[in-house]
Amino acid sequence: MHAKANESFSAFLDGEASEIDVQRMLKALDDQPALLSQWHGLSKAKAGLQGEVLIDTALTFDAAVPAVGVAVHNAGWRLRLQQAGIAAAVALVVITGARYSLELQPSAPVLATVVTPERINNALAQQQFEAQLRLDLYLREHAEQASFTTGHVVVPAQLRWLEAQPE
Amino acid sequence: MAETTDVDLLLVLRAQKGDSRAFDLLVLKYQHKLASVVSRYISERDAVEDVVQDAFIKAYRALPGFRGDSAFFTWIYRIATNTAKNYLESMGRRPSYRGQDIDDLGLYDLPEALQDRDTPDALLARNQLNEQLQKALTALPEELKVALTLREFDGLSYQEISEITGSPIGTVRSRIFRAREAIENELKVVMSGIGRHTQNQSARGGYAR
Repeated sequence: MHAKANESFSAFLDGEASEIDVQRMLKALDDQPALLSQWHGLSKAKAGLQGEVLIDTALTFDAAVPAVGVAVHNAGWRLRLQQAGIAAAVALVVITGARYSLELQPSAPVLATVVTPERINNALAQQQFEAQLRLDLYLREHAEQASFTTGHVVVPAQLRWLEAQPE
Repeated sequence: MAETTDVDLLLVLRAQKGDSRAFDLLVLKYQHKLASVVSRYISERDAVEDVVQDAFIKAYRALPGFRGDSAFFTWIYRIATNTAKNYLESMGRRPSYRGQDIDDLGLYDLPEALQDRDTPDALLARNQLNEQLQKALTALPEELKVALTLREFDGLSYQEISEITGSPIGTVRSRIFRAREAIENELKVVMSGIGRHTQNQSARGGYAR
């Protein structure tokens, strides 16, 4: 019944499909959703011949996706909002971290009456360490988001952590 | 009948308008290729499948932002490699392959080279699959075998195969499909054991049937 659609799918796997093939495949899938499983078998046959790693993602993808489906339609502004949020959060962490470091220095003599200088250094190092962890996390999320929207992405280099001094 | 338009982009545009079937076709086309890429980072078969699925979900979510500046496969390749790296980092492992930084490896290494990290069970399954593939290929009628061999192993286009065999392109398309269908039917049992669903039972001897 869908012999032509099957041939279209086979050509699609080879990068030899045309726009008509696409329309034919989509119509066939609408008429008979079970074709997805049949075509999955064909894709495995091709991948097997190519020595590729065989998986069953196509069979489980639909079940994994419903929660995402709505997001696709409305994600335009949401995505931008999310990206803006991440960028703002990164900026906030940097500014807060810098201000916090500056504020700590004048208060050091006051703290020194309560704790030893080593402890201040430890606390400062610990705060810097945590701030860097947060910053790294934000940068990675930002890079991942950027990879969705552009052809280029810069993954942050491995940071050298400032370890807290042992007491 | 070679692609004159970017069919992947066409499918992306349809998926962006809410046609999830269009995205299903892209998953069908690239799932195994992405699994080969991800298995360069991660050796556990279940984890590879999880990461590939996660990458497709992320891509599906991010579709509205895809503008077609790069090919769809290049785009999802980056998403998949980032997802694999994040997975490894979440597991406290450094992404590397045989001591080399993963980013130093070639973009499209030969899939055969990827099999070295397989477990003995996976290697056994792979060997059995290869044997069955050879048998199924040998058993094909001559014209189907020629068309499929020229396509899969010599990498020729349909147009080139048509010129070599002196057959219309429509006939070439049909032969290649029928050859794949015949191989799929022959290998159904073996190949169903390679995926996640039956992997555990096949690891206990399911492939030995």
